[in-house]
Amino acid sequence: MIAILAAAAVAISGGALSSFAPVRGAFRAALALLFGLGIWSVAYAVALFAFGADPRVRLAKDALLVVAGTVVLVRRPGRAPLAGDPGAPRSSSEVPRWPAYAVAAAAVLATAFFVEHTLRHPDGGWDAWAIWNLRARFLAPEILFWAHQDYPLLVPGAVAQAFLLARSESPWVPAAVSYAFAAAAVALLGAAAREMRGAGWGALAALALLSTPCFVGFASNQQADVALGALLLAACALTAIALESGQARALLPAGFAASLGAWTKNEGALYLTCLAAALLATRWGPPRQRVRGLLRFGLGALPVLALVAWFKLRVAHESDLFGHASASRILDASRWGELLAAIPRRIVYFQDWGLWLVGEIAVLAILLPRLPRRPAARAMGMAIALALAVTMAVYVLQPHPLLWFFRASIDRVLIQLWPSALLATVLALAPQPGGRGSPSSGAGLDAAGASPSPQTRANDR
Amino acid sequence: MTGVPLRTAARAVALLAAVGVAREAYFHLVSEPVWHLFDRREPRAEERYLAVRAVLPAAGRVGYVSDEPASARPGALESDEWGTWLYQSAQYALAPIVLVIGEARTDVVLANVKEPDRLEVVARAHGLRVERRFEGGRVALLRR
Repeated sequence: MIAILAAAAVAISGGALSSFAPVRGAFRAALALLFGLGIWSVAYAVALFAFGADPRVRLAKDALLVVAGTVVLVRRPGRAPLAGDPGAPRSSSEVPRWPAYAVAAAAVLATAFFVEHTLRHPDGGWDAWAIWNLRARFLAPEILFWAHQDYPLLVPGAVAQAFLLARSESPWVPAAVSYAFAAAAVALLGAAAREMRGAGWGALAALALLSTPCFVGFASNQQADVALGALLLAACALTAIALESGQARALLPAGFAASLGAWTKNEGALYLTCLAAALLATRWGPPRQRVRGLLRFGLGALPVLALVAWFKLRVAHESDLFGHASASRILDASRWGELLAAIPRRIVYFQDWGLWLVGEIAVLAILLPRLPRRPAARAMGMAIALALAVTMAVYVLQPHPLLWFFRASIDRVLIQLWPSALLATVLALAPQPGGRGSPSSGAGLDAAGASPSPQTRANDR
Repeated sequence: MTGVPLRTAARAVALLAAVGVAREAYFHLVSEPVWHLFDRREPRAEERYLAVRAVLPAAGRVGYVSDEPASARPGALESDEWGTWLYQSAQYALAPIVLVIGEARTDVVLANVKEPDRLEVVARAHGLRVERRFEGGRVALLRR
């Protein structure tokens, strides 16, 4: 009964929150799963901090999520209008069928690899058992203690509740949570690319993520990076929907998704800031409209950001990266040189990335300058570039041996950004289907009650 | 140029995906062969602490000593990660007990050593005696 209530809390609260996004089908379902797991974990943390670890508190919290979610679903005025039709209809001869079959085959293979790796390493990778699952174990027996105390609690919160429901700390519990986030990331990427560029591009995007070697590895290692990557992708996809369709209200759930990322890992707060900055800096509409969009994004992020702020100020004020940071390091040219020399090795790091990073850089260098500048792709690209630039500064600033820390963490940073980078690449490469409401056509902004700016039109040339 | 044709992109993705999946397959079939999944699997770290878990308190602080140093401060990493791994795996296995590195004043102290013949030396160095040994002397309970 308690487990059913918890499942209902995840499903209904996720469904309710995703109803604010003007999307449908697999896109909406993947969003609902991510939002459901996220809000379930956020509510757990709030209840734990505010009322303690009594099982009745958890029960009341889940009941409240079910009631609140049901009220939202019932009171929403009909189905949310959609952002647009999924691309211009193409004849079946125009869209190759094999990518869809390849995605199915790759998903089966990835699942098999995930299961095999989980059987071999049931506690996950070093980070998983030393940080994420360890923290879940401390939460589950109702004792709070912080391993890596400055890390937020979305993944441990979800795993701990599942431990308590299962009345066991079975290694399959965190494995299942990790699989759910990974599957949601693939489904969301495929569905978002399909929604904005058509079925063929959706399949290619999903195939690209599934066949990135370290994606399945990180997922089966049960590391929070895959969850953060999925949530950042949700934020980026909804932002892109808003920018391309002119339905700025999609920025509200986009902000919420980004804030869930900030409650997953510290990098999430950086990504949220970068996405907000890109939203303001990219010329996707008149300045006033961009400010309004940013406010919507911020409003969506506010509730979870309040929790993050409270956690940082009251519980997790120690940081191993910044507690011993030194400004002199940032001015040390030798550290920058060391870092810049290490980056090319990572780009061709075949074991984790195959040839995907090389391919991505080739696309950026050769094709991108020849393609129209599309606001959604530009905003996402700018956010990712900004995030990488700040991350490089953090590498130089932090106190650990630079190369050791870089090698230990850069692939995890990249896998957090990779799903969003793939979506941005698809949006930049694929021709924008005609007849869709988009800022470039003006229809989307007209529908939103705004005038398309000449700059916005120019962006798509 | 308004965009890349879908078929062109599909060919490029097919090539990159084939390489990526081949790399994954190599890992699971050659590097860590799936047919040796059960006979060559390393024991879970937890198994080392199953017996000592039964005699430790259910929760609270327990001192932790070892013959291998663990990295305990940012910027001051030990050259060998063995001691850090030993500590972290013990902490993971024994949660919600809190293992306090170098603390020898708790009621009971956990010794977790790489070499069993160093156990007595480690205990004496902290003014403790070995009360009970587990795992062939690699894990032990110490008291004053």
